[in-house]
Amino acid sequence: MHSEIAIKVSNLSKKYSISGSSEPISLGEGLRNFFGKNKTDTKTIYALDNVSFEVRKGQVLGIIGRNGAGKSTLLKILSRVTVPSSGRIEINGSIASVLEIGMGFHPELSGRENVYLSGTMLGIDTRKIDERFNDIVEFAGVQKFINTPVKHYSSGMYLRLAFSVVTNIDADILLFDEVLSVGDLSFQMKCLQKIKSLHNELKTIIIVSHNLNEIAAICQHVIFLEHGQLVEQGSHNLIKKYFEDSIQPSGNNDITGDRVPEKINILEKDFSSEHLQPGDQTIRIKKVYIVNESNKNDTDFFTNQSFRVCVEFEKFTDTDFFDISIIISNMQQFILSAQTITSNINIEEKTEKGDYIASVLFDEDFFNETILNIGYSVTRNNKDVVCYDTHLLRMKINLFIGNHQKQYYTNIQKFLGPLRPKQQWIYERRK
Amino acid sequence: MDSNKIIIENNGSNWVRLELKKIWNYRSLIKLFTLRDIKLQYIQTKFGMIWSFVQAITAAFVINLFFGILLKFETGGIPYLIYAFPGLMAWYYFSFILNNSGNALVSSQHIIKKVYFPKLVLPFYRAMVGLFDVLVWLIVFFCICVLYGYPLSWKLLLLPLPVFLNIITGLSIAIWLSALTIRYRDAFLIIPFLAAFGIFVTPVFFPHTMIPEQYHSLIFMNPMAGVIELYRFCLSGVSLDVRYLYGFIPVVILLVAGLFYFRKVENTIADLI
Repeated sequence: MHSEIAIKVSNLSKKYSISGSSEPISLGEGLRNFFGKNKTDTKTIYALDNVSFEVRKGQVLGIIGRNGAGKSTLLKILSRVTVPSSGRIEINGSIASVLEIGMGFHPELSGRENVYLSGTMLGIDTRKIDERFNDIVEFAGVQKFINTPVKHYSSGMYLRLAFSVVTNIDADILLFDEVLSVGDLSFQMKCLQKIKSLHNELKTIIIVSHNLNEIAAICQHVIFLEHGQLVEQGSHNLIKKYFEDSIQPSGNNDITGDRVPEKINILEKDFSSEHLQPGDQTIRIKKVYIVNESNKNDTDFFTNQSFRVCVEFEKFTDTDFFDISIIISNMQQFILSAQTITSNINIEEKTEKGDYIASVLFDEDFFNETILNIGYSVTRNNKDVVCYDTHLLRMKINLFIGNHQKQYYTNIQKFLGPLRPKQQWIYERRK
Repeated sequence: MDSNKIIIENNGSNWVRLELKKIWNYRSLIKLFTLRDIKLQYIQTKFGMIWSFVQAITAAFVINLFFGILLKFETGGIPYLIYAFPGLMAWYYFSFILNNSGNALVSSQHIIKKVYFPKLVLPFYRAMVGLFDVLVWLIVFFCICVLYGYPLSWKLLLLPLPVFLNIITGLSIAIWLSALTIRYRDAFLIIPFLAAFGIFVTPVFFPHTMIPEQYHSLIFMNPMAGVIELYRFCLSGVSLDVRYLYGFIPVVILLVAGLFYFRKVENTIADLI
């Protein structure tokens, strides 16, 4: 075996039998089964199906795929929590896995005791923990509280200490399962930084995550699992592909609760009956909808088309004024844009009651090909939020490829990220 | 953390190796788990340690009252309490191991699903936790000896032997139970039954001489009778009948078979639990 290879997985399969003998049953049932009566049908599913790949030393590998694709099973096998049904894995070097951050921590024990306990659970001997103890505590920043029971820690301190144990014990290979999605932003930043520095120390790292941005930020290499099979492996482009796939309605929702919406485009919300209309005695929202400005009847949107988000409402007073905002966020609930009327028009004088339409135009080539959640909020007199819904509508924007572009079109010409403003490049020789 | 090459595969063979050396490699984990549980159970709770003493002292009072004073069991000239207390201690520790080690896997399922270590560590360390109670009972026993003015002999130095056999006997059943509860959750229901009725077929409160001669061989087959008799040999100055040691033959067989069964199901634990 090549010494550069940290992990070699060959033909790995893991099958589970469901609705059958592998469920915990009662002793009586077990005896009946043993004597040939009451045989239950067993159905086998493959959580992993003939998966092979290699991880080179010093590589950061991301494992992506939908829920139920086998990501966690793979990590469980790698960390030896469970055994494969067939296949073989060779691991060169010591391995530390974090299937759950803070695993083995006990709230009643002090920080010091927990460091030793969780370190020992990871298989590190006491002398090594002694050696690294100061580093662990320093990274976590809990020097003052190291003899305090961790139940008195803030959740940030707790997570930092737990993460610190795993990352400071000099394992050659580290496995993380969704651990970076816990904690606040500063903790996540610290984790990412630490993982990058571990990468610089030539540690091999495997990460399972749902957060594709995170994977994109740290992994050079990605494997994509689907229904237990390794569908593809490669670099960043794969992440984008996965992202598109994951929001495509596949009509295949039998696997554990995929978050695939049945229908992507929800372009109109008409609050027809009065008691459903958001608002109060001063204002009622009647309708929120999206119009394709380039082609009024088109319900497919392309990056070269502009669109308008409209809010129809009725005002009941002559004294109040209302600021309408349109809030656009991506599928990861990250707000991309929040446009408000008052930033554009002075509406403080337009206070007479009646029916209104407020709308905002989004230019072509403003958003990249993506899926957007569109919502609104209504504020009265710049103080009270009357009503809001950030996920009222949803639209997909498709990439427009002009005829003259088609022959030159490659993956590389795709923009990454949710925006595609036309920016000017300058390319010239230095004088 | 094994620092060199690790191979993970399912060789499909029905044979398992015990790999007891692995348990030895994880001895610091056993130590930390044991200290953690002792700390959490007895030291950090306000009444944890007092409760242990209260339990031991109450047990001493009750058996002395019923069997020693009211029923006047004949114990060959030794004060009844001195005779019976080590037996009760042995039974208490035995049922402690059945309860705690027998339930070890199910109650630690959370960590079993999240981290790798030899699962045998769990029932084993749970048995170690009970040593703290044994210590408490021994302190109470020594106080009783002082009260009665009963002398202890050099045989006290042999005490680790019955303690060891007590653990082995408990584990020989608990390891089976802990492995069985993975698949058959109700296997655990056997424990209260064993603990409650076993005490009547084992000479805990009475000397075996009270039993008709023809049933003695049954008593000798009972390993807990042997454990208790050894405790009495060390603590109460009873002379030892070597025939009691026969009872440890089934213990060894049960233990070795249990270890193999445990190893066989060990790999499936994380999937089943």
